[in-house]
Amino acid sequence: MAAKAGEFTIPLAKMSIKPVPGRVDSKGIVSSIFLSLAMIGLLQFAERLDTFFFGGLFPVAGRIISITMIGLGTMLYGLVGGIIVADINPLIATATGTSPIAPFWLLTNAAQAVCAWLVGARFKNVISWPCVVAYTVAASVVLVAMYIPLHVFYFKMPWQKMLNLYAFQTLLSIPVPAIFLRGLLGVIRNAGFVEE
Amino acid sequence: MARLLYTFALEGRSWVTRLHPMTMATLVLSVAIVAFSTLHLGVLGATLLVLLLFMVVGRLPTRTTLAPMVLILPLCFFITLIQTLARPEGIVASWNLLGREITISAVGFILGLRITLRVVLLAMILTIFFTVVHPAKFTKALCDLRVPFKYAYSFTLALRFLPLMLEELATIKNAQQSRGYDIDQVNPFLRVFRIFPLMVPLVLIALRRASTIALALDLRAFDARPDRTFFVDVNRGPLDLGLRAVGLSAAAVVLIAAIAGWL
Repeated sequence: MAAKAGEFTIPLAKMSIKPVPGRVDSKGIVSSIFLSLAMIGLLQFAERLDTFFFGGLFPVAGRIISITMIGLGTMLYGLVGGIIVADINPLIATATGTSPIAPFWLLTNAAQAVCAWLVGARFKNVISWPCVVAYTVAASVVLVAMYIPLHVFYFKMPWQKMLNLYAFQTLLSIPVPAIFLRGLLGVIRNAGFVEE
Repeated sequence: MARLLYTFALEGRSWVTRLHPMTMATLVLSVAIVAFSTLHLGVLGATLLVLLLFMVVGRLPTRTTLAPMVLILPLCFFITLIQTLARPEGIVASWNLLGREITISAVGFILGLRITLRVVLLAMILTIFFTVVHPAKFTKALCDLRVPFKYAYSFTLALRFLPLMLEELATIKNAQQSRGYDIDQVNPFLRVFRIFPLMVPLVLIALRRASTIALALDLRAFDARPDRTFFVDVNRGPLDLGLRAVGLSAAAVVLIAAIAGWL
């Protein structure tokens, strides 16, 4: 199905195909891998901050970067591309020993890609504020819901006493990634990476 | 970014690098089952000793393999701190700070240390996995499990291009610095909000470079034939089967003991 003028649907890199699996040709796969590598590079700054403030237990900066980049990957290349963007990072983080909870990110990052797909598939124009805000809200809520079992079963943390920290994380992980993602999608559209 | 662990596997100087990747995956699974089943100090301590023994017998590079453990220290510190301050049992000291009661729990402190041991175990087995498994063999093993080649290959491709992208990021950072924007000088509380000037050029460069590489891959008929060949081969030997049996049996015993309440 061809997109109408002014409509930008998932996957933006080839809007005429379905979002699942999305763009899975060589270009789609390699571009997803490169987006994940860009995410790994940017996460170097974020993980340092998260380790400094909370030992990496309550990632805030990392969450901002991951929500932005995974949303971008999914909106550009569809669900499979989004999952590649999401799940290369935990593998590399484990391979380089940068975080002990990196294997858990396989699930949390994939969940963000699924959120981006579910939200994006409901919008006729994903390069819009309502779409990116809906995605960041969905991703933030799902992440908190997934981190509670990690904190309870893995770290035996009293999660009721962590509610303030969860609220703080969510407070930042909704507006900031929305601004970043909307900006990036606009830049990518103007740079000519969006195809019919 | 830490040194990539798999360089040891590429050198192939140890017998453990010749193990089947799925044998190592089975050992990771076994240790994960043990670590998640119980917080019993004896069991976790014994597992840690087994892993250290495996490192010695396998002649793994100690410094490279244990270096990631340093990175988990802040995490373990915060876990122990939170447990010590938040647990209501075994209070050994308390005082009033600005109208709020602060308590120190001995039970929480011990629990924090046990969780630290659990985190160390999981981090160590994953580090060992990526130290001894050759990425190309891992791809082959995944293909043998009927994972489509283009997806199985993506991890190897990512490892190969990671240094390139980090170099691009450094170049962008230098370019922005020369324009007066230095992210390292930004207030740490605001740093993540100021990352956008690095993010935009990095994403555009990544997409542009990916287009070129995808074109090169297509020109070389990437994934054009389903019956592809590999320059490495992976075989299961008696040692593989033995290690898998021992690992899974030990994990099953601990799991059953934990469910039965013996641990």
